[in-house]
Amino acid sequence: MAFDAKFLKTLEALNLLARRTLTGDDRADRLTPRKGASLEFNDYRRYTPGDEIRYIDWNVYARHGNLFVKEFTAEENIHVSVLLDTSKSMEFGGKFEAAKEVAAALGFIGLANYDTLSLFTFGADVRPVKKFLRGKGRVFELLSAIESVQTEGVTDMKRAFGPALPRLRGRSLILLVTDFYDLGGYSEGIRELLAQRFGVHLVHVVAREELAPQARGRFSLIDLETGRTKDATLLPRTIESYTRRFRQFCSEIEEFGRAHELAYARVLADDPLERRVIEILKAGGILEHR
Amino acid sequence: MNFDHPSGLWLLTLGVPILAFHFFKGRIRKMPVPMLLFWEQVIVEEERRTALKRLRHWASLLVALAALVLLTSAVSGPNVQGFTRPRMRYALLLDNTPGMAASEPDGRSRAQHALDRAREFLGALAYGDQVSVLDLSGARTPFTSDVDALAGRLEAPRPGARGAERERIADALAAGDDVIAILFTDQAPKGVDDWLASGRLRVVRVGTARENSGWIAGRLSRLPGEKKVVLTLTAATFSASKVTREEVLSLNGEAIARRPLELEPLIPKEQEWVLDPAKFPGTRLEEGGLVEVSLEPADQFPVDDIASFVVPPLFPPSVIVFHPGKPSELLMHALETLQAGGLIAQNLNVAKLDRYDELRPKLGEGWIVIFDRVAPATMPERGATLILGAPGPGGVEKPAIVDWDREAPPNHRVDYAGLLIRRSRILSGEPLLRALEGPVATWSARGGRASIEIGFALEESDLAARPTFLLLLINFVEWVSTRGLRSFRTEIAMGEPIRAERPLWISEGELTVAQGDRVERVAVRRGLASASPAAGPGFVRMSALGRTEWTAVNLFDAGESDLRERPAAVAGAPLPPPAPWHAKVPYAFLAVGGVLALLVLEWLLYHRGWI
Repeated sequence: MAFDAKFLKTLEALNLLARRTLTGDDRADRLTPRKGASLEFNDYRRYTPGDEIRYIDWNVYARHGNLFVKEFTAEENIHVSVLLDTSKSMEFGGKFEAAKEVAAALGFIGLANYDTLSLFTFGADVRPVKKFLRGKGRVFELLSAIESVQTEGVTDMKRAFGPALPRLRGRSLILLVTDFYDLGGYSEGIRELLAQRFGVHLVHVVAREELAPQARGRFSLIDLETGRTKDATLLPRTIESYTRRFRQFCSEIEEFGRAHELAYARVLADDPLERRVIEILKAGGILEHR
Repeated sequence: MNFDHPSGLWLLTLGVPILAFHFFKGRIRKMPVPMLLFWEQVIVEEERRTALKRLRHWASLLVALAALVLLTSAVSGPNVQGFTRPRMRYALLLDNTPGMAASEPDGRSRAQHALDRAREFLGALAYGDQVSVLDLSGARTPFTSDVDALAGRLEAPRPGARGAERERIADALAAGDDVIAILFTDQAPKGVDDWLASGRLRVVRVGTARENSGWIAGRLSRLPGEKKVVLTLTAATFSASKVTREEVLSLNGEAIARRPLELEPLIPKEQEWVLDPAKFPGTRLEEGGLVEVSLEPADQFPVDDIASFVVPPLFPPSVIVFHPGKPSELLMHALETLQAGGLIAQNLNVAKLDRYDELRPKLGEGWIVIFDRVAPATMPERGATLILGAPGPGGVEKPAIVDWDREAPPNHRVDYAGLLIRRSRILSGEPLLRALEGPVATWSARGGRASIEIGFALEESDLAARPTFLLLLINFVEWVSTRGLRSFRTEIAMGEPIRAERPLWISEGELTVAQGDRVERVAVRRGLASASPAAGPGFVRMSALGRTEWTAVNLFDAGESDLRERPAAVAGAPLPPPAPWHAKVPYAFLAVGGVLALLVLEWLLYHRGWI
């Protein structure tokens, strides 16, 4: 996995959007609910002994005779957690490679914005791969970590996301890169993440063969995750029904995201990475130009 | 079961690759899917629709194999007894006898009605049926299955004679045991009951019963030496009541006499016309011409209302005798006898041979040129020639007469038995009189020229002393005055081909045969030519190189003139029923259509998933 310089420049011009205002550990460029020492005015409060005298607003004292100090918003970074689906279903149609590239690109954007980045994989449970990376200098560490990830097992978001995610400091922004194939249903798992007050962005990786299967004839269909099989004759009409069903599935995810104010982007696995990033940018809510 | 093209059965071997492809197509391939759930949902939904789905694969194979079998049958053309319709062969016989020219109440002739019925019949045939068309004259088209083109070409045949009806039907049926003859006629055929009973002959009757009257017989007669001819005609009416008509005598197209004619039902009446130039002054009847006796007014069947005759010139021929220095007294004596009888012209010409070249251009068809013991360098182009004892090689002493041609017109009632000849040349040519050593007299005739050559002089035999010689001369004069110089007969029956009975005046070239507006050009080969039958009664002109002969065409057939209803003795089988629509379409087309339909069905069933 290698990004060329021009593409990296493009990524550096982007910023991860967080709809919920999240808190981080260190000072950075992102405003937080915390009071801090940025230039961004936040509020007044009555002076109490011990407050910095330099923050007293003498203009207010001249008018009202009371001492007020000015408070400023703190500028901090946020904690971005990329959750990469490593279930076996991601092997289909090059989705896993595409998902890894998307995760790397989004991770790089986070690192370039001084956000703290953690990489997790999930299937039936969540496993940390790399934690608390900061700064662009850690990008190779990130790429190397992503390269090493392999697919295994089934997806069970409810089980994976049900327990509190391990040691995610503050309220993290979670980038969920997945194909949403979960026999138990993806919604419960995502709701668990929302309940833990994470900001969640959904990136749906889709293979072209899923959108428009070309196969015709008699097949033994093998479920990549469970290994179950089913014999079927794929007729044009069957394909049409399947395509309709899949589009409905995509619409349901999109509708779910809209209902829970979650940003949603769908990318095609065989599109070039640049195009996939542009699609995420166009979908809105996940990336912005700085 | 048999096949038109058994080699087409090799197509069945395509079944092997079809089966192979079927099993190849039917094999189950493995296909990993990210989540089976969606597929299960849609597949279960599909499977719910019909139980036939499970049979789809085998149904597809069956349809493909059925298409192959159908295609093979389209190529090989199977014939299955009781299932496929056998191809029929029909011989359509169109009655072309003169009676078919009778007009029907709608103004159209019986022949036209027969054509309509024949076209209807052709239109009802099945594809592949073969048809040949014949008329009672023997003209026929070969068997063809292109019945549409045949129906388009169908036209009323030239009138012919009914006499050979059975023979023509036999000819039609002789094409094969499977051939059914269909006769379109206005009269019940006779003598064909066996074929009618067996169904091999079917009869389509056209025409309605009509009343008619006309000439049923006629002849021209002339006694030797007489300067008149007698026309003897027989008229009859085939009606229930008396008929009154008028006879009109015409010469060269101009009426010269009229008289009424009353006919009693079914009683023939003989009429006589004496054509004496003295009785018809100013008509130049003595020069001969074209004479018609017609019945007026015209009726529904005008064919028998006209009797036509070619009247020869009534004046006797002129005679000239070329001799070496003095004509034979025996010859001159005989000629004077003929002259006295009015058989030859009164001025008997005698000349030495050295004047022949001078006189030759003046000698034509009205002349009889006699060479007495001399031989001309060139024979006259026209007219009759008699050569007696011309000098030359091949002489024999006392030839013994063994036979003579009794059918030759000059030998009519002549007896050469016991003829003594002192010396004669042995001649070459058509023998008139044959000796042991060879012909001693020959004869020849062609259009415009007739000749007899006798190899001995009258003085060298006792021929002149016998009545035989006089008879021979009378026969010769009479013959060359009437028919001897003609190639065609003066009268022919309707339906009879116009055929030269003697060689024409040209050996090669073209003869123009004209009757009214109809003109036919006939090739002449070796002096012979034959034209189609005349289209109707009247005169036919045959001409070539400036010489013309006329012949008269007459019906003179009571059977044809009788247009009353005459029921058939045996009803016979009806016409075959019209072929159903699918039998009119080539089986190969239907089969290929079926193949395409099956392939579309297979595509819809298997590939579009209708089931």
